[in-house]
Amino acid sequence: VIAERDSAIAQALAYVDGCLPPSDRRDFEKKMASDRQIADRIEVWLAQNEAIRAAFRDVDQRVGRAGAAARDLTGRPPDRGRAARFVEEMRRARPIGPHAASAEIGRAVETRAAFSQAAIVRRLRLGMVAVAALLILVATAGPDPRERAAHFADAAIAAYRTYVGDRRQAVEFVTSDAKALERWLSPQFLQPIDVPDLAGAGFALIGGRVTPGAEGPAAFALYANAEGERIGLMVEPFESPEMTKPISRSTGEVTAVSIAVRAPASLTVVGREATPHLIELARLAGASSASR
Amino acid sequence: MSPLGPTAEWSPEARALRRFGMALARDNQWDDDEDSTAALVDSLVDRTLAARPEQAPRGLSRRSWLLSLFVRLYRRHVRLRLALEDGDEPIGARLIGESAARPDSAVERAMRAMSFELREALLLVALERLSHVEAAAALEISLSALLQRLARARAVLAQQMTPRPREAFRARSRAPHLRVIE
Repeated sequence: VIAERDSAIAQALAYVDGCLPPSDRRDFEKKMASDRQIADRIEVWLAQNEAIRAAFRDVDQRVGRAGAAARDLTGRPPDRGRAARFVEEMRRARPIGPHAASAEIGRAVETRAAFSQAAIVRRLRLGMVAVAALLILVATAGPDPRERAAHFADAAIAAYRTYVGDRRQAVEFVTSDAKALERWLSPQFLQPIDVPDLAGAGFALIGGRVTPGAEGPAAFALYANAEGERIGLMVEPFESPEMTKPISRSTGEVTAVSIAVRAPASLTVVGREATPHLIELARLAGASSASR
Repeated sequence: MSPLGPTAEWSPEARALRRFGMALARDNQWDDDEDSTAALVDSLVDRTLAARPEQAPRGLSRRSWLLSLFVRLYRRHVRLRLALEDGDEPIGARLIGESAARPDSAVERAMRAMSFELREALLLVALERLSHVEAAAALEISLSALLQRLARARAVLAQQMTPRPREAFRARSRAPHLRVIE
């Protein structure tokens, strides 16, 4: 009895889902005409099919692509609300950097002890300590800015070679919205990351990822033009002195041009474009970041 | 405009996968918002379309194969997520219909409330119009297992979409009283 019932259900499902051959279909329709229970069930199931198709016909269009495809290995979607709040709080907060902190300390010292005799002695001592610290700093200074820029260029070339050709892994966060990518990247670097607009040069944003930089983690944004050519833009936060000239490095067909922007970050443009074009793009990206 | 920009620019294949994915991944179990669901689905669509065509098994159409890949990736996501959330909250503890405030149709609410094994079977057949043989192959289950799932899914859907007696009474009591005026 169970087998017979299962067979009847299988036949009814096959009829509803269009899987019965025409001859069996005709036989089933005759059976349906004589059995009200079967006819009612088929009517409900056909209505279900129609309702499902109507309900999900445009479900892919209801949410735009802008916030797409940020993934960690678990596939867990990011909590954009929390990330956005975090960035907002960070932007509202007073900037706390070495310069701001030293200015704060300086003001406090001036206010409290400007005219005291002891303060003069203390200032002399502080001055001596500062001179000693400066001497130590000079003695142990790192590579000059040009050398560091070359390291950033090398890191950008490595990132380009690793990710850009790989369609599966090219970006972690797929978006054409620079603001959305900034919202995703900034909390990961604990500082605002600017994603420049290169539409003026014909390059649209595809998305971004976090990648190893020259000295630490770096943000890597990927752009493409109408011909499908891709360029990468690597932003690595670090305290840098102003650099007046861009530094370029080439390995095979890939060239990277590195500049420092006003914000405490290096900026490197990498791709298979000609070097002068990449320099132009780097300057455009730098100007876009600096204008914010 | 970016090649991966608005969905209107997607290939029909990618859009079909996204439609199926959005229908599959909306699940009361997770209580995700639409943006998060779309982000997940888009990531899975990218990974699905990145698969090399020569990996496709013989006898399965490209469309069925892509849907099958998508289902596998989604199942993997569900497994990882269940493992991550283990202990935080018992699975299935949320009440069916908890998301009733969302602006969904009755079918969408019923599909959200269904277990994803039933939902994937019903969506492949009813929404994507795969044959039973193709759907069973895509889900890597036997034909009889597929038919059992379809029968259960349709029963659940019918139950969810049929107004309960109390709701039917309320609906009747809200209906305007009509009188025949001679």
